[in-house]
Amino acid sequence: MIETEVNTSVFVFGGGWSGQRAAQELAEMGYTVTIVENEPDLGQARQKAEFLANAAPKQGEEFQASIKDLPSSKGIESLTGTSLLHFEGMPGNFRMKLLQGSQVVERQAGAVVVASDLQAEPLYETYGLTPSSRVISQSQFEALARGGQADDSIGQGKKIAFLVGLGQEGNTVAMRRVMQGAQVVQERGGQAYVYVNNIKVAAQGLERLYRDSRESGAIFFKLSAVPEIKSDGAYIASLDPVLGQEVALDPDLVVVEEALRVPGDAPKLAHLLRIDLGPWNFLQENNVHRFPTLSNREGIFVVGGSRDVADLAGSWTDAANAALEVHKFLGDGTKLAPEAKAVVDKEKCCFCLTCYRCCPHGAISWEDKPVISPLACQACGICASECPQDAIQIMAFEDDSIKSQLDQSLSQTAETPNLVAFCCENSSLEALKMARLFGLDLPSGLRTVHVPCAGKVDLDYLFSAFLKGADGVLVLTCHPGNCKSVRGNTFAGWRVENVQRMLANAGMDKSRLRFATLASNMGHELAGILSGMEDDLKKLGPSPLK
Amino acid sequence: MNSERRTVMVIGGGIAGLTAARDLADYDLNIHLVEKELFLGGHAITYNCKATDECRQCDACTVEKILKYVLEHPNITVHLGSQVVDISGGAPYTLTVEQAPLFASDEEQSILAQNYASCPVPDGIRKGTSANHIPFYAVNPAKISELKESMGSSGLNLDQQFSRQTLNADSVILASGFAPFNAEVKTTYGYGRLPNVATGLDMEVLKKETGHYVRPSDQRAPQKVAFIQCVGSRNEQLGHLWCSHVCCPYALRMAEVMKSQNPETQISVYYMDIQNIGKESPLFYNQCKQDLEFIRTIPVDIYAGDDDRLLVSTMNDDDGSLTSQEHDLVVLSVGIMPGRDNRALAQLLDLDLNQDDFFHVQNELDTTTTQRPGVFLAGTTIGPKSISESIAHAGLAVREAAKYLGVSK
Repeated sequence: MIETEVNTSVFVFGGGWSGQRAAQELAEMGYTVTIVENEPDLGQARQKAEFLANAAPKQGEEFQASIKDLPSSKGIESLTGTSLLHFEGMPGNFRMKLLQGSQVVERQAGAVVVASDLQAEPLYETYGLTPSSRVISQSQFEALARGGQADDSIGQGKKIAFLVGLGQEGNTVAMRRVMQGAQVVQERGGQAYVYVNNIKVAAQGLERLYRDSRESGAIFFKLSAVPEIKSDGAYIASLDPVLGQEVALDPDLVVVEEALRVPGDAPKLAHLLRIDLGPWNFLQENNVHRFPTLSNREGIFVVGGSRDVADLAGSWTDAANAALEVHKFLGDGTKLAPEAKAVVDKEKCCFCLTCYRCCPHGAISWEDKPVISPLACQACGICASECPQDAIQIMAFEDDSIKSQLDQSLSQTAETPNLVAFCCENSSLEALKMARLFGLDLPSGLRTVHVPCAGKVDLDYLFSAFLKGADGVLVLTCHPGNCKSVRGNTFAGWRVENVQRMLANAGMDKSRLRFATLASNMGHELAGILSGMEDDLKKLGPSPLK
Repeated sequence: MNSERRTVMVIGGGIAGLTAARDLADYDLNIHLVEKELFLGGHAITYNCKATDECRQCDACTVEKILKYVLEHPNITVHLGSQVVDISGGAPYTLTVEQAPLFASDEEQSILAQNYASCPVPDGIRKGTSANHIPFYAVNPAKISELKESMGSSGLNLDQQFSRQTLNADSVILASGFAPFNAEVKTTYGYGRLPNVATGLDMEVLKKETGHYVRPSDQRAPQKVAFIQCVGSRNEQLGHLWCSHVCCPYALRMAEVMKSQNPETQISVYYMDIQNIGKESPLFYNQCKQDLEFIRTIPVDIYAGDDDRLLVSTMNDDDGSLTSQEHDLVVLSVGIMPGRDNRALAQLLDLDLNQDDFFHVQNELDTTTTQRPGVFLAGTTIGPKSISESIAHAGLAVREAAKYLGVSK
């Protein structure tokens, strides 16, 4: 281990609610922060996601109170009206170029927090509606509601229809907005009608808010599909499942729900930062190893609406978690890190860039040869196995040490079939520990080889296992979507298929080599896979290569 | 343990407490993790992986991962079978912790292992549910005197007493968790009386033991399964004005596992409103709609049918008449209720409970800081939370505790 200096500045992309809070948390911890925001000022950035405060006014008040001093806070620089042009470097030492007006600005930082707020997009088309003075979006309604009692368009005697959770599956933020809105209508003497499918109440206090809004007189129609509705919104008819009859309404105002999405430039930002996108372009994969705020790259963290639909409380919580992660990563600026987690043999390297492309953690940069950052590398070994020149070695899992594991384990011949299992330490190695502790039956000829990720299992290891006397070989890895290194399991699957094909061509039964996915708590499943394979190997007899 | 360092006590070793301990360990602090039960991991550690042909983001493996981290961390001292019985002083607090005998030596563990299956006292010896449950066997403290009679000759010293120790803590994080709804309260569902009416948690325990989701009565794969949602949650008559967040996710994920293992299984889901399930919720829900039958009503009664099968009766919307459907397994999606110790803990720590008996929060955003200096709340102490929500909330509690302790970069 050696001491490594890291930059203790942090970039925060996004200067809205979650960005401001993240910046504040980081500054309080003693880090210097640069906020990068497209909008001309931070107030406007927050205003773009004003609906978050409308959904939960008390959360909004608390949030505003906490960040009111932010513009003058020590250690926070706000670069507004600014967009990201270029981003490079490695965790601990990132560099970026920004365009501010017509000027190019450069900054450096050790870590990044991605904190774009959600954007609201009305779903008129999904409901077959054309926006007009009668047909408005939820955001427009909230603007009217903020206008106060003077605005009678949502008050006395008015019939206001809210459409939510029918044009999309919906979420607790959209639901909260409608419930708040319906209550405002009732308070001002109007009548709120809420057309909704699944009522999303899985958030603190929301079931009670639902009860309160019904008690205030708002009427909820729980439907399973979009009701019949005239495109100008003048008429809505739906079958009331409780009354069993059609209910028609001629509303004065139709309020259409909004989808909550990441900003349109999210893919571009992800590309520049070399982080993976998740569902609907959220800036975090749908992978439990990342939750709450990690990305596939060390030193880059994702919060609030950048990673999922989040209310203000969610963004607040994420900001705290990202601050903890930044602290774990940057500490006081001096880190103890291994000198290298992976080394490239310059003599062997043919500059093909395979490692650069296949690294799931964006840990490889390029000088006169590939350089693997010890702070960014997670030692999964995918690059080492993909390198066509075998030029990369992973510390503690060098090819020689894996092969000597194989040699040792296969030196004793058992009466039962020799079964070599390559076990990913994140899943099957743990599952094996569980199976042993639970006293489950395991094949007596089982030999395990510990790998950091199944992505480390080289074609060569599979051949070696057979050549050294294995009757069968298993590659045990994590379920699709659960690989800590994103696609180590995918690479392993491809390699197994390749070797199976080659075994078949060589006249060997290809079922002697298998691939299975497991989780760390699947001791029973592991025992089942192993004993099933042992049974089959007994039928097949000893390997012809023995 | 370094005596120069400051100390934080985390009460509760479920997912929130484990996460709090993990995150605190990043700072130069001593951490005492005090768990009332004999094993760490709380309810979350009993859950099985819900992957079908792909990961479903149930987070059960995350619990294992965090548990392992906590066990291996030198700054964290785990106190199993332990409860805080007294607290005095302002911050730093002096806490008295009472601990049950653990029988953790190799010799004691091997005696317990030998006697586990044949133990004549029901629930006398307990076994862990995780590879990271160390020690793996434990003696139920409530059954020690009964065990003395039957295991007198086993070589196990059952005369060991509860012990007490005094610990100081500059800060306390309360992560004492929740209680699952007691399904017997809904008498018309016959839970506890009808063998194949099980709770989701019962099914998880069965799978941990057998490796499969099976019918409790005969341990065979069920053919026709019903899931009933909102058992105990969203129930105004019971005064439970909250959604439990986790039951739609665990029921639908479990149903999909059953379906993927045995595609012939017919599964019905009785529900009011389906809540979102992870980041890809609409896609997963669409998959479920193809695989499962969704019935938007909450059943009235469950009756015994032939061969331990069950008749689930529901009221028709149009005329109020009753119809019934036969199932061979009914899974009750029991919800998250306030922890059974909440009142005692509130009194002990001088904290307030809210109208629902969860712990009172002072703010809508910082839901971890309490009126008592240095005492913070995490996880389901304040209301229902999923595993990932509990993990994030524990992070917030740690951040606030770190601020309180004045720890910066």
